[in-house]
This record gives sequence, C-alpha cells and structure tokens, in this order.
Amino acid sequence: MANPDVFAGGISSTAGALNDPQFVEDLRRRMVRFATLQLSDPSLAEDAVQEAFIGALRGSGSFAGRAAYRSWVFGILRHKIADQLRAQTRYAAAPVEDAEPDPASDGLFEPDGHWTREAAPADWGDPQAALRDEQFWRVFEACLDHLPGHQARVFMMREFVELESTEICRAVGISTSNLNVSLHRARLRLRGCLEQHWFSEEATPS
Amino acid sequence: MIKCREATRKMSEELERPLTLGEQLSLKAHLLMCRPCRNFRRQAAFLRQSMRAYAGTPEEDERDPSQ
Repeated sequence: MANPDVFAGGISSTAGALNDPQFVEDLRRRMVRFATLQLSDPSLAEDAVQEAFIGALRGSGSFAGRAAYRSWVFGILRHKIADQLRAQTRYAAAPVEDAEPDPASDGLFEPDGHWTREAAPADWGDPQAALRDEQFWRVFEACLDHLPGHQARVFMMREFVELESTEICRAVGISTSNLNVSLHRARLRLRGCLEQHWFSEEATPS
Repeated sequence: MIKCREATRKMSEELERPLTLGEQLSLKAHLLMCRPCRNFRRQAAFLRQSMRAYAGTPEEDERDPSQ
C-alpha cells in the first residue's frame, strides 16, 4: 500500500498528512462530530476544532504515520473540550436523562436477571492484539457511533475526555445514579457490538 | 444473591467509585459461579483500556505544545 508518511519521520510526515485533503477533511469531520456531541453547541464545537488544528500546526512533533498524527490532534481537541466542559455548568441544551427503558441493553437479561443465552459474554481470549490492528479501530469507531447520543456523550466524556463522574454530572446536569445507568448501558452495548463484529469466530476477518 | 444484571451494574460502577465491602463480597460470590460475568468484567476493563489507547494517552507528553 502506498502510504509514504508511515516511513517518513518528523515534520515531513506531518506535512504529508496535512497535504492530503481527504485525510484532513475526514479528520475534521470526525472531530466536529465529536466536539458537537460533547459540547452540544455547534459553534463552540467549530471553535474548539479550529483551535485544535492551530495547536497542531504550531507543534512540531514527529509522528509514526497518520494514526499517530490523528490521535495527537484529537488529543489536543480532547483537552480543549475537557477545559470547556469543566468551565460550564449545564451550559447549552437541556439535560437528556437516560431514565427511559433501553431495550437494546435491558433485553440482554432474562426477567429473572440472568443473561439471555445469546447475550452472555463469551471469552475474548487475549484482546490486546486487537489494539494494534487498524481494522479493529474501524469496528471500534462504528460501535461507538452506534451508541444512542446521550450514552455516547457521557461514555466519551468519561473514557475519552477522562472527566471524573462528578465533573460529568455537573457539566451535563444529571445525577450520579443517572450517569451510572447510562455508563452501564453504554458498556453493555459496546462490548456486545465488539463481540458481534470482532471477537466472535464468525466476525473475525481473515 | 445478586444476578447477572445487578452484577454487571456493580462492575460498571466499580470503574466509577470504590464498591462498599458488602458490594464487593456479593459481587465476588456471584463471579465465582458465573463465567459470562467474569468475561464481562475483563471486557469492561478492556473497553477502558482501548478508549485510552484510542485517545492516544500513551503519547500524553507530546500533547499541545502551546500549553
């Protein structure tokens, strides 16, 4: 596969990635979507993404390829969003409660509280290897995109932006128990999605 | 005796706060008997680990140089 910036070091690899309009556009779109979900304010989101790109242009790190560059720029955005969320108290939209039943996660259990036969988590063996597999990350992103908006938002705040539970409750305007319900559901859904599309024998490509 | 639904709730909460001693004991007792829930526990930890990897946390020292 022709992907020269994997082999080039330093600034040239950054420039290589940035000179590819497709790469930049995909990255920008993904960042705007993420920032909009987190901040629930499109114009604040645009600002944060722009600032992240400016921060990235100022930097002169060296990157082992586009994936590293992407996670670096995303990392800058992540810190901007964390600052913004910490500063805001129920800033924009009305809080969305996750108090409704969620059939996709509630339906994983029998009425008596046991796993249904289909939903019972299987043994994933050693999942660490997946972390080095570019294909896995595509499945991972698709599974994240598949979470309901509110679950995706608080799960990403917790695990990607790395805010503490109390900070999330304050920023979103929800109770701790409400947050815990959403995180529980998000984890159930995500692990189910990954098992179905990656960690089962039928799912594994190759 | 807690069941799987409740056990997974506790395993999710254990990533958010330390469980009380009582919660730890009932969870431990459930896990001894329930293989799918043992799998769930490893997977919940793996989800956190993969989110950190996705976020590029290991390259933390390379972040925003303007700060």
